[in-house]
Amino acid sequence: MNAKKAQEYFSLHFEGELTGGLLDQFERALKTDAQVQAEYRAFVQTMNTLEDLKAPIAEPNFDLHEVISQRMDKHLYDLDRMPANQFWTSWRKLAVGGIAVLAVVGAFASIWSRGKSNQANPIPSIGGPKIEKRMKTSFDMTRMELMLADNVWTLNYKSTEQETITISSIGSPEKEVNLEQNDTLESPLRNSGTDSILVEVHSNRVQNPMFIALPSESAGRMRNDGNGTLGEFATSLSVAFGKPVVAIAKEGEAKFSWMLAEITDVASIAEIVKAFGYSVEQKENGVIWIL
Amino acid sequence: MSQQAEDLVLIERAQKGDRTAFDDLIRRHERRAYQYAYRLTSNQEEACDVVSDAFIRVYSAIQNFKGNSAFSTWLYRIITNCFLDLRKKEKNKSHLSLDQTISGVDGEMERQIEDDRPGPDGEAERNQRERSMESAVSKLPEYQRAMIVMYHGEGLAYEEIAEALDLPIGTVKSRLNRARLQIREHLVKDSELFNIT
Repeated sequence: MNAKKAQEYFSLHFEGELTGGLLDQFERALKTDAQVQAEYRAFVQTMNTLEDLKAPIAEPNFDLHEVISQRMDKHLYDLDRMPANQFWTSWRKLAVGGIAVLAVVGAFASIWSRGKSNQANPIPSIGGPKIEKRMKTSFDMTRMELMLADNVWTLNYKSTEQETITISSIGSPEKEVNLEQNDTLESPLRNSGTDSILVEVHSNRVQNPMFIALPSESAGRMRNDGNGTLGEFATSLSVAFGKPVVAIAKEGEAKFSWMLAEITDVASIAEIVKAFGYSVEQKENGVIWIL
Repeated sequence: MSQQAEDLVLIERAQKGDRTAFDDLIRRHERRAYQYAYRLTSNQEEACDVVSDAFIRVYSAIQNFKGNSAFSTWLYRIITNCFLDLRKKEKNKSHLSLDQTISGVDGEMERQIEDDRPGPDGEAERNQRERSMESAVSKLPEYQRAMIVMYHGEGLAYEEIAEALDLPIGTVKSRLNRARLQIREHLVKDSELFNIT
């Protein structure tokens, strides 16, 4: 073992982790090679000197906590005033594309705030709302439920902060709702069409959308193989299982390929989505969640 | 209740929008966070910037924290990223950092910046030794510097560093060995002080 090679094992030897043949070679070099001896001695000295790094350092300023809090407040204040046009553009495209489709999404949304019910805000005119910069990557599933009551699926969503939720679907008017912190949005979703529909939910505080695929209430099931986006995959699954599928999009675009003959249960869905970092859960009410 | 369990309780509350809980979380970790940031930057103001940025990022991403690792490990990772981002911004602005060299007529010379940190009288040699060590550490590439500070300054285990930097343990060990060898080379220049032969 020459001096250069021996250097690679200095830390391991110092920490007693060098074993077997490597240890024998290293120790032989250490005994016989003056260069290795000198370098290892200097290395040991360095390791001892590095202990000085543990010594206490300058105390933080007494107002460190105040400084952090103030900067955080400023950051949040700035976020509230930062426009993000991208989101607005994206849901307007959906509105344009949805003229000829028959599916209908529930007609109203309401907010429950501290026990009082408020009517949802009307749909804004183009260029009307100021969209906030989104902060989180994905929707938090622990703050929402999709419940079935009187044969109507209802999305309940509890806000953690002030945010604007937009619910859209091809062929239906978009709904925009402004929520205060800890408000609960309650939005019935109905599909009176003959095929599954895809509802897209956006928040101005969340980077990626959430999809809710609703199976048709009346038509028989069509099973389609295919490939496509998370929303398209969710739609296909809702057809196959006859249950709503909620898919919470993550960072980055994922393209799925599926053969419905091979999808027999939740585990087989998980096999398909895991490559993109998603997992799958089925709730007691049958709703399938892709997270 | 352990520190980690107490952190988790605060995180769960913060995830539900409880700002007071988040504030408590900051209080519990700000000192150690500052210490780590200061060791990386060697500058009080920059350390404060890095720590503030880090807590803003933690706040923004708190919903994503699943508790698979300790909160402190996650915080180390975020502080390291904030530090690397700060250095990247500085490089883009072509500013000189404290440890950068300036090319002169006679070749490169160290940029001399007065260290205003307080040091007790009578410990001149120790102070000098610490300064030499800090100077040697500050000459390392940022990523290696973070590893050295985590291991030797903060006392993190190899496993924790691997988790914080998302690297295999073997890589952490080999890079740390390389970093130590580089520090040794810098310190050899001060051989008289350290009696290094």
